[in-house]
Amino acid sequence: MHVDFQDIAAIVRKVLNDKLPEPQPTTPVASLDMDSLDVLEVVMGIEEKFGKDIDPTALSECATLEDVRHLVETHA
Amino acid sequence: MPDLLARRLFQLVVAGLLILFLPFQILRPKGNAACLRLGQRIGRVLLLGRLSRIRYDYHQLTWDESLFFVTRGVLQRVFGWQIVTPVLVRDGPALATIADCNGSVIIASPHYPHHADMQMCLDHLAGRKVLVVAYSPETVAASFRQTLPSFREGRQSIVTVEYLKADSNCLARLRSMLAEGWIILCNVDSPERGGYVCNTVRAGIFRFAERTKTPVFASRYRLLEDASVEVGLVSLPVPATEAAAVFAAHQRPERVFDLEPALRSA
Repeated sequence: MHVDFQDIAAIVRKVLNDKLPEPQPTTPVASLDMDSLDVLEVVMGIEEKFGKDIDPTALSECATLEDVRHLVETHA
Repeated sequence: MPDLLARRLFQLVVAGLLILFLPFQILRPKGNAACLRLGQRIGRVLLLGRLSRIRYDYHQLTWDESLFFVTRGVLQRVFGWQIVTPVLVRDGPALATIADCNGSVIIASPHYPHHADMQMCLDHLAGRKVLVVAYSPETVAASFRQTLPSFREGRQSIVTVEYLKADSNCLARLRSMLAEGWIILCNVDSPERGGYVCNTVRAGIFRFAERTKTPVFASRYRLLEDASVEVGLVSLPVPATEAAAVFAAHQRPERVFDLEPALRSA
């Protein structure tokens, strides 16, 4: 299943209320400074958009947003 | 000469220990209430009352409560005394609702009273599963083992107890556990950066409850004059902003909470 980076960026942008400058594939996940509620919202956003149940630990282990996109794409 | 000095020093140490130990031995049979009085007296001797005017509380505890819990902790750790602090629950209807609920419920409390809430679960919610969300689960678990009689005696199996570390993944993990029918104990306030007084109510758990449609209750606690602890429970409305406002209003009148900006009504 192909996952478009713009979809991931849209979810992150929505969760962070546009506080973030335009998300890039190279944007480090750590730099997003997400709290537990933000992580939940991202996990739920991914579920709603792609119908995939993502492990939050795997999500937080992603180095960049491109890694998040890859995680969603390759997640069964 | 050195022998004599050593002997005198030894006698001094023994005498000092006896002087310290005797009042504890006298108080021992009197238990919980005596513990509070001892704490209050130590506080008066050390003029902590004066200090309390400068900074009212530490982690939501009044000075009486701080002194009581510290004194009880010292007596339990140093002397191994079993001091049982009774926990009385007010607002029975809320407790009955929790008891009757098959799904998960959240009990949101101000900083510190996991012990009181846990004792309430042990006393009234036998057979249920309790999940404690804490920044340091190891510390909370060790503290339960030290202070709650059921844990000390290995009888905590009245309820199933698990711990969840309050990190950035905790709410996502919590959501995956909701179907399992947990009673979730969590603190919703925290200090401002570098502070000790926990008076800022955080949005996380209220938004989570709203998002996942999980019933949420507010717990408040108070140390009574006989050194028992009173826990008050109230059901909170679903919208996070309203839930946070009711939570803050439900706490002790002398406590003033700030709500995180995300919880302030427009």
